[in-house]
Formats: sequence, structure tokens, C-alpha cells
Amino acid sequence: MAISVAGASNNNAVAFATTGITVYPQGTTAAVIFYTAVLANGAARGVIMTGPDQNTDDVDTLNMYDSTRVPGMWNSAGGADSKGSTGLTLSHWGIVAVGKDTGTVAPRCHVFDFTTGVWSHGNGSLSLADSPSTGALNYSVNGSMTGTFFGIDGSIAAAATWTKRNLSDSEIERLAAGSWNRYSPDVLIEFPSGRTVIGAGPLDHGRQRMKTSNFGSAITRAARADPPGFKFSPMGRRR
Amino acid sequence: MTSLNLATVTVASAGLTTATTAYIDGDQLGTVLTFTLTNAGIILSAQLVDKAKIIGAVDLFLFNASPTLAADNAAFTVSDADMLNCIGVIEFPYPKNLPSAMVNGIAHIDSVGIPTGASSTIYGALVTRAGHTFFGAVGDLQVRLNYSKDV
Repeated sequence: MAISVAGASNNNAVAFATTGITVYPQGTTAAVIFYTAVLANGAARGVIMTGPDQNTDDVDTLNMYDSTRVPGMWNSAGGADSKGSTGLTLSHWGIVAVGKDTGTVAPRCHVFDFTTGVWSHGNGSLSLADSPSTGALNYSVNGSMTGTFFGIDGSIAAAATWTKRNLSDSEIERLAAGSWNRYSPDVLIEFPSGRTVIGAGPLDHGRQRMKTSNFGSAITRAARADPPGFKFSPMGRRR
Repeated sequence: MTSLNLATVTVASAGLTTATTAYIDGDQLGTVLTFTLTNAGIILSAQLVDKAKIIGAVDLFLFNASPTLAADNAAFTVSDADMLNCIGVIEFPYPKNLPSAMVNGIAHIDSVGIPTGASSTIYGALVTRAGHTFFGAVGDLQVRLNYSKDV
């Protein structure tokens, strides 16, 4: 069961503090999401932000754009939105991902629809420079954030970041099988049993490198079936 | 107590491209690999060592009879007859992030669980899942299979 991060005009987020990501000039960020609301044209909604806090997306950010829900990237070095061309269908579980090589290049945008089983890959609309190094980062999965950064209206089952590799199209396509821990992510967040309260605490067996916390009042357990490969038992184990 | 009868077999690649032509996604990597096990069994886990530190994710197709493969650096393809002998595919991730000073990489995958069948000799074909440049030597890749052997 996934977790929902929704609620119009609420400031909701699931934030993950990490100390393992200090520079992110290239890499890939991916999430398994389900949209329940259509975005206004031009609106950027941050699914995953990597920045000093949950409201600041200094580093490469996975955004969803427009009413067609296309994935893309924004970072403070580029200062612009670079959008893909294929979006995720409303009310379908899907994988959205964006990756970038080092240098001023266009990011690569990816969408997978679990309902149709179809992958789409394409370059973003603009070239972006490398992100700045910002030291220890927070990594947040955002709900409907108020202010500049708007999150998704829907549910999220998993999110991950590969900080030193722009995954190839074929490498990305492996993600549809689930079990993302097999693919060497630097950060992997899953939501076993859709717990409505993810207490602040270490996720890394006491090494204190990753902590979670919630913001806002609309972080809820998702009342919908999980996508294939991301099903969890009540004990938090895969079925 | 039942023994697991653990064993390991390691094979180095041959025939990798060492000049000029880069690999693209879906290319054959080198020639067929021959794994001579001490007995039939179940493959438990595997490692792929990259001495050149250039590869991305790699698929290892395993067969219980020697397949006819495409040439190195050409698009991977096998016949229907050969594919009937395929006993499984090991999906190596791209080698885990390592300190930049290191000159090699290693990818590991566990929970494989592929029975070898009756034969103690199996064959492998490595296939790129991401483009990368050519190697420094034909044997720059090395595959290790860890298995529980039948006794």
C-alpha cells in the first residue's frame, strides 16, 4: 500500500534528511506515482526535491509539468525547467524518472505506464548546467506544497536517486520489475504498508545518515491497490 | 545438518573490443563464456568485475548448450533453437559507486536461484544495457558464479 501526499492548499511533504549526497552533477531520480488531479498548464510540481530543506530545490529536482503530467528537471544552476514530451496518464500507476549527464546537456526523461506496459523516453526541452554542490542535503517527496514548489496530488509507492549515473533507457526499464534495491540506488525510499506516520528515526541501522519526518496534515495511507512489483504485506514485506 | 556444498566458478571474458568502436545498448560483449562447474546445481549469486571501469548494467544470458552468438560489439541475437536452451538471465546492475581513485568496478547480484539442469557445463553471453567506450584488454570482464552443487 502506497502513501498519499495530497491535499489542496496544504503544505505536505515527507522529508528525508541524508548526509550521503553532497554533489549531484549527474544522476537519475525516479518515483512510482499515481496522479489523482490534473495540473494547470505550466504548473511545475516537485515530486522529489534534493536541497537544503524541503522547500528549496537547489539540486536536480524531478518535477511534473502541465496538464499532461510530463516529467522534467529543474536546478538552480540551470535556472529553467527542462520538460519531457510524454506524460503519465491520469489515475494510472506509473514510473517517472529524469536523469542528466555532467555538463550543460538536456536531461533524459522517462515515463512508464503500468496499465499499458509502455515506456517512453525522450530528451528534455532545454539543456541544464550541473547542479551546485550544497553539502548535506534533505531529500523530500512532496505533497501539495504551498508557495513556489507544488507537489503531486496522488500517491507514491517508491522513490530513488542514483547520484553518479544517468541511467540508460534500458537500465531505467528494469525498474518496472520492482525491487529497486538490486540496482544500486544511493537513496531508496519505499512505503511499506502505507504508514500514515513515518516517525523521525534512522533508516540505516543506526548510522544516522538518513532520517524521515512529515510536514502537513494530508499524508495519508493510499486507499488503492499498489502497482505490480510494489506490493507490500502488512508486515512491510513484499508479497 | 545438510551441507550447502557451496562452490564458485570464475571465467574471464574474451574477444572484447579494445580500440575505436564504442559499444551501444544491446551489444554482444565478447565471445561465449564457458562455465565448468564441479557438478550441476543452483546458481545462488554472481559478480561481474570490470577492470576498465567503463560498463553500465549488463545482462548475462545463461544456456545449458553452447549458443551461436553475434560478433562482439554487434547487436545481441540468438536463434530460437538456442533460446530454448536458455536457463535464465542475470541482470547485473551498473557497478556500485566506488571511490574515484579506483580503476575498476564490481557489480553483485544475489537471490539468483537458477538451476543449471543436469549439465555441469553452462554457457554465458554478456549483453550491454548501456552504451560505453571500448576496453583496455579483451579479458577486462570477469564473471563469478557462486552455486550450491548437487552431490
